[in-house]
Amino acid sequence: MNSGLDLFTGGVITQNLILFQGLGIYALLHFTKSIGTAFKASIMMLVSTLTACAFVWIAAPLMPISFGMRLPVYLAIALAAGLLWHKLWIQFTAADSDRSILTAFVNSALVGILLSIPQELPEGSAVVSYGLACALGYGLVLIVMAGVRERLELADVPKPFQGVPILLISAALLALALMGYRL
Amino acid sequence: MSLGNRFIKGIWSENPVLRMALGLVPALGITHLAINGVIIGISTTIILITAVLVKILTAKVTNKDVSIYVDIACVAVFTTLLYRLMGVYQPEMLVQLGIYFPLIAVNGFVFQRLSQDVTPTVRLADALGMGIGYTAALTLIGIIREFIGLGQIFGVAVINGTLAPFSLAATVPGGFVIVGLLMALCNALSGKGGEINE
Repeated sequence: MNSGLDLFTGGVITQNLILFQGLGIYALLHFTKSIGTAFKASIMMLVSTLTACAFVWIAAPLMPISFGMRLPVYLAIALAAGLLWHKLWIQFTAADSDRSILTAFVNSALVGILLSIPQELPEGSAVVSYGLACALGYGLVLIVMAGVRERLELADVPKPFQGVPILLISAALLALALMGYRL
Repeated sequence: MSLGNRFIKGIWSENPVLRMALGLVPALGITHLAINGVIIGISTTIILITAVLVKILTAKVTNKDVSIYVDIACVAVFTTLLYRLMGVYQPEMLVQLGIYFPLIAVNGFVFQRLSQDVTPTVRLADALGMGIGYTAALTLIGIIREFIGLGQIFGVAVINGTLAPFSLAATVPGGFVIVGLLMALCNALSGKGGEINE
């Protein structure tokens, strides 16, 4: 029970994909312009991750043992899950086939989750739980950073720091705050 | 724009990391050692150039709708091949780079350069310039983080007990701060703001 809870809190907070692993930075910069956009990107990431983790769960008995052999399989699964949901998104929302939407589905965070699935993790539903925790942590940071960014729009930020630099420094401050939970 | 200008642009005025904020994952995640920045930068450049060559060669048989899928497949295949090669010749380095080496397969910087609609020679010059600019930026970030965080540069100790290293610089949150400050410095030097390029 405790290990499951540790795994979950690790995925959401202490091993957060964006703040402590530096993954999904493209989303941090491009999908935090408003809370609505951040929420949509979080949902996209959640469905892509759950689908990819479910694929891993199903394919677990066939998965090669060495990491080098598993790499192409993980890349293929992440890309397949991302592209599948991208196609469905375009079909149901009648949106343009835009690269920026594709990058929300196929991103470093999704591939990073699959590549960092702990080896000792029992096969099966634990993989999906781990993916769920990571995706929730990812969404949490996107939404919080969108809120921070909306406040930053009103602040008098020096010109060289406007845009990406102040956003990265704000993310660092959020990471430092959450670092307390790692001690 | 001449080929020379296109080449130089990638190194300074459109530097992928410091000016365009692309490919930041390895810049934040793995450059606590400068050597990691060099290896990831060179590997990304090799993958970008080979993907550009394939794109040039297959330009006549792929239409715009499927080109992005061809790009994704191409980059994934070349990343896997390079990963296997590294596993044979530099296995320790591969372990040190962890999941960040395979993540070149989804590096936004590579896809952004592949999506340019330009002539083949310009595309090649652009890829080479951008690759060098990317490697230089990762190396610079790595040198600064390694110096501040561990008191060494490329593994050589430069602070011998006179000043305690500030280990936060070697962590990802420290990387956020250092990359943010470097970007602000570049903005100040070029007289521009830090708008995010779409």
